[in-house]
Amino acid sequence: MNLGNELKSLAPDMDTEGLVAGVLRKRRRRQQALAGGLALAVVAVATPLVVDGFTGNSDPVAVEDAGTPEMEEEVGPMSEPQEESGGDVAEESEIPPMGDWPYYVSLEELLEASDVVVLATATDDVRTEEVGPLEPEDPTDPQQNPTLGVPDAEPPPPHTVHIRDLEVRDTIRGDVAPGATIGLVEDHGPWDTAMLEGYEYLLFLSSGGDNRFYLVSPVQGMYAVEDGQVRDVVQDPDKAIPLEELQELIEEVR
Amino acid sequence: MDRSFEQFVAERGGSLLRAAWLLTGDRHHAEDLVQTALAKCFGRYEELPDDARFESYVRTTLHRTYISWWRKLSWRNEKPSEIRVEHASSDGDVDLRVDLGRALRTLSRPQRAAITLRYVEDLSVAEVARVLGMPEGTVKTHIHRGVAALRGSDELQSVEVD
Repeated sequence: MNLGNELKSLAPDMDTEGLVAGVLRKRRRRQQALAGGLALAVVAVATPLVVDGFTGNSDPVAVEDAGTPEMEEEVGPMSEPQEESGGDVAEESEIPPMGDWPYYVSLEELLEASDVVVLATATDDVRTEEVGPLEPEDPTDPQQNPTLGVPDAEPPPPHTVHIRDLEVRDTIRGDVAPGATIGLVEDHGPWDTAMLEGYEYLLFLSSGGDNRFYLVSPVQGMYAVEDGQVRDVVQDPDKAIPLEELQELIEEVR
Repeated sequence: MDRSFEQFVAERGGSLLRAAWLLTGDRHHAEDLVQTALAKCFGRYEELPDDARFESYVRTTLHRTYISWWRKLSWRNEKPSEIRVEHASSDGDVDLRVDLGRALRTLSRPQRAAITLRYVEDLSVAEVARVLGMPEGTVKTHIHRGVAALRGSDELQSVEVD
């Protein structure tokens, strides 16, 4: 079997009618989205300098370089309004992030909460591990002990977490050597799958000891890095700022 | 020669949709992906000197968009449905194509993108690396693992993958 030929014959012919109208509709939304807001949520509140400085297109691709489209211009379903009718199946099924996590209103707060800030590449080495149940420090506290008052209650089952190895390229803050491999405990439900192997991320981490680290917040601890741009992959993938600019800001906060 | 975006879409839209279908395995997602890629590239149409250059630009955008994180988030719970081959070419072994379609769906997004660019678009490893914005070594790994996964798939164990 010739893989290429078989794959080519696998794809069905599809009708292009309505394609242009769909493109123009997305184009309108895209322009609205780009005009609507331009800052990473994590730095927007405390550092308006970044908001002003970020254009969303700070390094335009030369026309001659036709094969390298602008990654920072992506507009995805997470930011687009719902389709009025038809199409865009993925958009209709999107569920907004929700959870009870700490929220840091400034870069300074985020840095204070982080033991380590690194640029690291996700590997495909992911292990699972069962943890807990943790013994409540105060057994009379119903928040710590949800079975308080229940006679002969079974202890809660252990919790399964994923631990992904990351290769650290650069350490912006903290005591991790560049080149080291660290374990990221992924314990945040649907965001566990957000990391792509082979891609680089800027991570704000708290240390759990034993070379294991946790995102300080699943929605504010992880940013994708590509082509020198840091993108708010979880909260708003349309927003990115130059890594260099963010590093300068972190230096200033120090 | 006069050219127009609408004419480009009419002429090349089908090819782009087929490429997107191989990536997504779903007509609606394929249309969504192509529309998104074209919307991103729309403003470049007049700037690029010919349709071939523009199509290359669109295809790069399409593949990069596909493997982008927000698509992964958006479609994270998507499981491949049955591959409906009634729309595919009637040549060859239909069962084999059903199996191949299923096996393809088991690959990771970077693997699927690298495999389709390498074997469907007939790009070199270096060109695949440029399109996906990855180091060549990473692309080789994705292709190697992707092909190994196809070979190791239950559906294709009896078939030798070239």
